[in-house]
Amino acid sequence: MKRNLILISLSSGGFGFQATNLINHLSKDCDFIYMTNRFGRSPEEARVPSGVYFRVPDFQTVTSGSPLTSLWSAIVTFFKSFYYILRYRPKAVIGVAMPQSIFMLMAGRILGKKTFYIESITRTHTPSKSLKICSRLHAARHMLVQWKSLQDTIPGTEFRGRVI
Amino acid sequence: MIFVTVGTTMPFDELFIEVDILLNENYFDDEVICQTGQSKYIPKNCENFNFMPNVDRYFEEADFIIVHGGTGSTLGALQSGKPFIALANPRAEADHQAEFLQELSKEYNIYWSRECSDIKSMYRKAISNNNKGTGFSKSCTLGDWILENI
Repeated sequence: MKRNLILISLSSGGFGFQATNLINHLSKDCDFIYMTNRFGRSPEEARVPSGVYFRVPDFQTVTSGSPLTSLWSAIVTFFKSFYYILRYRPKAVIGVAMPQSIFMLMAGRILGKKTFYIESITRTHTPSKSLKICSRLHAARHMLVQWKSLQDTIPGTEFRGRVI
Repeated sequence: MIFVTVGTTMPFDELFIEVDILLNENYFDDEVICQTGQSKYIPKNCENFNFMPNVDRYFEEADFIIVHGGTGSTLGALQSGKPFIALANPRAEADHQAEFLQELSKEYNIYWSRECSDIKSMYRKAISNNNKGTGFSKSCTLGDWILENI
């Protein structure tokens, strides 16, 4: 059976913890390309299956820089993702809470890939800015929340279980 | 060893100030190691570091864990099976750490608070009740759904 190739975000901290769990779960049927950030993990460090990975700049929330930092990160993420999707042709693109993943997903959606944005499990009642932006930009076909209580806060979000 | 960790994205000075006060009083029975992240306050009475690519070994080696309410730290502590307490960082957007800990406490027996001054009482309770992350599920129901829909 042919294995699916997936482009997925992999950062450090809580988003990385959730991504790692999801990656290890999907790895029985899938191979991966990783989009990661400055504090992000290489596949070896993160204890996830090996795969091609590329780094993108951090958003303002991590660097405490100006909003231009985030704009720069968004542009770089979009074009790098676009390049890697064209080159490796993954079947799906999955963003796990990381703000950069919105722009990775936009590249995926433009190129006709299946796109999934997963809201962080810490968001139980109040959606993150990332989910709001993802919704406004229609960046992902599926916007998945991990608590039923969050499902109705933004139209179009779905609760289909948790990564943990 | 007691491991204190606050992740990478937000400072949590109040937590380290409180831990430092308790260390000064010789309150803890064990040595303390702090991962301070972006905090400006650096505890004077214990070993500390700001960032490390992977803190898994500290979770493994710790006998007790004090975490902020971020996902990686809280679920890492639950998963470790070690006794722990969690503090919600007030800087978290929309108070989501407190919301998360509140929801999590409905499913697991965890000690958490918004007030760092509660560390003292929670630490004693957690030690005496030996609360651990037992029963923590690592199932990935969302992963199954994604596999069906790729």
